[in-house]
Amino acid sequence: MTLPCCTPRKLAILYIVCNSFDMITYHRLFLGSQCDNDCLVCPARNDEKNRGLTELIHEFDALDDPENIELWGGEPTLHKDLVSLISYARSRGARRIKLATNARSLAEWDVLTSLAEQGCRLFEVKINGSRPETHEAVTGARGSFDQTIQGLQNLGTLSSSSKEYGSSIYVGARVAVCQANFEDLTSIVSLLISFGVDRIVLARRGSDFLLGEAAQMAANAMKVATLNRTWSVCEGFPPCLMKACEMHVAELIQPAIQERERLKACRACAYKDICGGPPEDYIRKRGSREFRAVSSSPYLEDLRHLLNTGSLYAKQ
Amino acid sequence: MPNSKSRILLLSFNAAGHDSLALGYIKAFALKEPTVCRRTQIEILSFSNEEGDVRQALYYITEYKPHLLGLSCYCWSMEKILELARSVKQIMPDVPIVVGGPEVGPVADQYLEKNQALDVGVHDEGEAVFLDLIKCYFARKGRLEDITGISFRKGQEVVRNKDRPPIKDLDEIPSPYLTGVLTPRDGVTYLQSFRGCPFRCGFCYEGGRHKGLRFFSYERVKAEVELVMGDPGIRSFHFVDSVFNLNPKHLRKIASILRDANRYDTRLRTIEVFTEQVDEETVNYLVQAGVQSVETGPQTAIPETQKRIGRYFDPEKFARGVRLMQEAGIEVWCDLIVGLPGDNFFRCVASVAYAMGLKPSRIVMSILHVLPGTSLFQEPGRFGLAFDRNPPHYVVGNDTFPFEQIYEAVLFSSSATREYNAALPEKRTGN
Repeated sequence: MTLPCCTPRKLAILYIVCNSFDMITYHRLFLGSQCDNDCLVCPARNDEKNRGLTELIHEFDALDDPENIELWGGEPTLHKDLVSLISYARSRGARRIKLATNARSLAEWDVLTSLAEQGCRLFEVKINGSRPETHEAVTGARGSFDQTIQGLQNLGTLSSSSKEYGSSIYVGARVAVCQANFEDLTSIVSLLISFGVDRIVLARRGSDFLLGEAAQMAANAMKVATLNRTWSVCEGFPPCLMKACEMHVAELIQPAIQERERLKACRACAYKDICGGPPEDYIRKRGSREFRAVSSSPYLEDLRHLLNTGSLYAKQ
Repeated sequence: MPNSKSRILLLSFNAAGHDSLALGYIKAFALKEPTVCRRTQIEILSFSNEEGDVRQALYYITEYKPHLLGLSCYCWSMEKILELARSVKQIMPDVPIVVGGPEVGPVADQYLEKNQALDVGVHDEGEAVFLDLIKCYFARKGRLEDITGISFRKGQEVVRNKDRPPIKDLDEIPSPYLTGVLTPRDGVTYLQSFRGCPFRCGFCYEGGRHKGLRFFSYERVKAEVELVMGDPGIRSFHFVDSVFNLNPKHLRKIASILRDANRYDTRLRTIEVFTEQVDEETVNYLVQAGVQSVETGPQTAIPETQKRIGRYFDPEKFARGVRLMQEAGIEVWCDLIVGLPGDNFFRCVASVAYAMGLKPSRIVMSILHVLPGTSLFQEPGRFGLAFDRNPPHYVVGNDTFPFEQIYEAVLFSSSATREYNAALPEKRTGN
């Protein structure tokens, strides 16, 4: 999937749609498109254009409640003013500053500690394979795997051994599930467990593989995570493909009313109000035979309550 | 009484750096008796539950050579206590071992039946009972059979005596701080203005024990507060009252005592409040009292679950109370329990979402312990509850929440609250 002419705003909207799982609401600040990876699954074009510090500060200052922010876009650690931006955000009330990163720069211990020192303590590391050949088949960047692994290693060290930062360091991992890596998911999850990550998100990207097969792989990988006391969720997999795994489906944990037009099969589904259905491009390419209406669910009442809880606390 | 002083050792495993207020009360009450004061030497020994080693405690006991050993028991420390008791019995078979505390009290006879090393189990409040035991063992006054509120070993049998009513006038118990039994220390000093709880939450031991509340006199509380707050080295301390804002009259009185004694900007930390009852007036009193942080529910945000466990919960009033306290600069810690009957995985998710929406300073997640003396422990069939009968009594399932879901909910909640609690302290500068 390529979107060569995305504006930052369009990209931001796309990102929100694609990165739905977070119990905490973060304001996402798009830093630019400069990146040292060239991912198959990335909607952005690496044109090395980053937004200036003044513009970013202006956007930050316009936020109603700047307590939680996520810095993303391209590879944020390549932005020359990242430390200044973090420092500014912290001084203006940000309490959770999250970095969506490929962690390559975090292979340098000093880079990581300077970010932590300024107040960036939450990290979401993108990793796409358990081996260099798989990971780099997705990132398109030779040597990226070793650096990402070293970055994860450093994050683990900072989290477990640092008295100063220890309990405030949170490391999530995000895997873009695609044709190149869906058979490697269990190994990726096992690798991530060894680094002691706090959460793993398996996010479907693209439609050039059989969703049912990938869903099975994702379910197996999440089972491995659970057996190893690590929390994991999947995104972009319709619940009808994730039977017995409902507790790990991001769209059920954070239900939202979906008003899309539905496939015929979906109209009778128990989850029809909160499931967006299979991706349209996937249906165009591969048809809808894999998808079957879920006739009933023991969780429907609770999901309705979850929806109401969301609206209740939104009023506070 | 023997000629030389009899040595009594009271021992507990606590959170690191903390003293045991309960053992302080027991020692202070015993020393009130002139003969006991003259002829016994009572020592309190506190070990860190996280780092304290049983063999380290055993070494201390062998050095001290007590004539009577009292062990304070909680669900988190019971395994260590039993291991210690077994070892002590091997080395000093003649030293009576008395156990008490919430883990043992309601099932004291059962503990004695299962653990040969234990000689006496105290059913409830320990102060008066322990004094009677001292008299019995050292002054040969009375027999164990005549001491109410204990279970004891008689030959091969375990005898459960009648329960003893609690001490009505709490001022009969001398203050451990005013008598010098405990020394106030920064951050780990605990005061108490009353005992009991007006609520009957199914998972909690406190409310189910006795009907009614018993109060220390305000003069006594005032004297303790003045002692603690008169020490400039003490920056913060705690009240262990089950509900600090019990009612407006009590809160007003306690707040005025604290306000008048506060010369060094000493703060009160992690007091328990009934949040639905918090209004503007309550917040004013909390501020006057120097409250820095409070700990509160909701334990779960599911009304049906709250009802089943006998807890009052009004989500809107609760949210309002949290907001009012936060606006006044008071940190609010919200507690959630995973595994309550009535909940399930997605209801736990809803509780986490509800708690996060209130923006508390911290969310504290724990797994349900089905504690002796609680209604959940006494009536497991009502809830389809399955749990470990041995401490720490973790729940393993109930009629709405199978173990697999509890396990998943613990993973989810731990991850989500860890992310939430990674927040840095508030920091705002001017424009």
